[in-house]
Amino acid sequence: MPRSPSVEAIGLIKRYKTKERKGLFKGRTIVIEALKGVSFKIYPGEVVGLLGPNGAGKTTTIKIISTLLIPDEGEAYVKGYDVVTEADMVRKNIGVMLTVEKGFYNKLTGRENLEYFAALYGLSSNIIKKRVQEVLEIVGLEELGASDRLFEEYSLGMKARLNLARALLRDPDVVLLDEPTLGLDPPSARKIRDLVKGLAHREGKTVLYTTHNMFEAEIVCDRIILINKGITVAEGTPDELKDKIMAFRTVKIMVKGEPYRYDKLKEIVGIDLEIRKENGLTTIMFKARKPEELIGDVIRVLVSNGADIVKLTVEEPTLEDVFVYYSGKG
Amino acid sequence: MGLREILWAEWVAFYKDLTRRKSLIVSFIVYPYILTLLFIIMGLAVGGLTSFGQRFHVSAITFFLTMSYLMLTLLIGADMIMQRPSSDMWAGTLPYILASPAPRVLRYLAVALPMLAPFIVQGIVCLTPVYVYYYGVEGSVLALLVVFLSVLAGLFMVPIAMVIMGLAYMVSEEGWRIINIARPLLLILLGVYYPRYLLPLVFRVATMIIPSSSLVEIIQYMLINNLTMSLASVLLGIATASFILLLPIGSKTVARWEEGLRFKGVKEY
Ligand SMILES: Nc1ncnc2c1ncn2[C@@H]1O[C@H](COP(=O)(O)OP(=O)(O)O)[C@@H](O)[C@H]1O
Ligand SMILES: [Mg+2]
Repeated sequence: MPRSPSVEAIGLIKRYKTKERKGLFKGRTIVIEALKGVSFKIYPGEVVGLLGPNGAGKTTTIKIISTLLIPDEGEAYVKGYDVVTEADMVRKNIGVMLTVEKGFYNKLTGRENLEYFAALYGLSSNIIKKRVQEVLEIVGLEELGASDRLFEEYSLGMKARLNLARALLRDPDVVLLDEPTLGLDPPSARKIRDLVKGLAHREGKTVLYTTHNMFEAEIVCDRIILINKGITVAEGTPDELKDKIMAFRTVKIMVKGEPYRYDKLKEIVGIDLEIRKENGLTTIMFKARKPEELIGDVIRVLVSNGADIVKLTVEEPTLEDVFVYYSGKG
Repeated sequence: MGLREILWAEWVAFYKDLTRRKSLIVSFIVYPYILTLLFIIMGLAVGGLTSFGQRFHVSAITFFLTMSYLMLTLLIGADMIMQRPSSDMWAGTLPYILASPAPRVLRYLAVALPMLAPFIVQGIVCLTPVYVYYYGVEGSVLALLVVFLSVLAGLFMVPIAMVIMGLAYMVSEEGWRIINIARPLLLILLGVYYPRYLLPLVFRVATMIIPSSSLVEIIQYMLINNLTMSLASVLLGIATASFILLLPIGSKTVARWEEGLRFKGVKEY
């Protein structure tokens, strides 16, 4: 039996209408097409990253899935419930975190804030205190001694943890996190990433995780959906995405002296040759699908021209390469 | 999803917040007196206190102190609700509240109630000495009745506040600007600035759509010692009926506003 997805988006389109002001009364409506057809499926137990630059449409997507925004076209389902027509059922099954730094009352402590939202979310009074204590422990605020401090005194890392704690209050099957580590100090960011992975891999929850940080997506996510200018451009595991651009691995050869015969080198590796000179050292760089077939020839040319090879490295492509590749196409 | 949890949540949130803002507590205690002073000064400028007493059959001090207090309970009930979206927008809490399944009427009643409770104490403290001075010992019973009716009037503001809030924020993200205009208008319609029984009948009937206006009228009749049992029950009936009538309208308006937000996207600051 095929697994059914816990989150599914089908051709989501969202246009924002804003007014451009000119003077007191003049103004014209401009339409920003934030999503131009976003589709994906997410299955239980996986962390899926929605990776894209600022303005790509990540937040818009998260808001639609969390019932906070109605799409102009397309559909989205959480555990089979329609996010537009069955919003109440969707809300019962999700936990959402929209920012790291906001979303709580300043004059209340972390615990009081969570108790407030627990009540609003329909937890019954006999379990509120217990559940709030649990989530405070899960996100490590208890360990930091911060549970009973005012929200306005929190560091950014604590605010992020409290936001995550709120998303977990109802112990939801689906967790939606919008850039949950944005601007955080490294220990807090690591804590959040570890927690998120644990939620999916240990507890079988479904996590949709947006970020514009490729390094982060690579280490947190089981699968990545690349999004740019409102369109999903590629999808796969981090490794698959790297393979997709056919692993243009980068070869770097550092030599002492001047090898000169660049024309010969170009003949071998193609036009993609890059030369950098620094402190009497020359670095020769090129990208190739199968560098092992070229390296021998390159070295022979260099050595026959009297170059003294200091260092040779072959680098795997990073997600950044993947991203530049797809963004360039889009 | 019970009223108990929502009430408790708003109650705790409100009191924790209040007790951590000392200046608010002080202003809370001195406010009715300052307002009375303001009215009296205005009154003196217009025609003197005794002439007020002769014309309206009630001492100016009693009338304006009572009305100042009543104005506070009316405004507080409404303001807590009307200002809430704005403050929730700034705090970034609005999206999480929109996403909650809490029934809206219950939630807004819960928002208004905790703020009204301390007004019971405030009312008793402010009104009793003045009433006893003017009306004798029965004045203390009168004070209790007025306090009860005032707080009830504050609570009866909930649906109309929901309507105004919903409409104002539907028109503009900066709905509080519209609310700042609506607020004094509302007070004029409610009749706290003048004895309602002197109004032309048409206006009196028209404004009865605002549930609390009939309660304002009851209180004013009580002050001039001219309230009959039958009049009281008619006015109370009108107030209750319009309150119940407005509840679903308030709920619908809020739902419309929320729906609109789901199309436009909740504004973030
Ligand atoms: N409420 C809004 N009104 C108008 N435009 C918006 C609104 N929210 C987002 N946008 C625009 O939509 C596009 C996508 O935004 P967003 O989903 O926030 O992207 P991301 O989260 O990937 O940075 C951007 O161009 C942004 O300026
Ligand atoms: Mg965003």
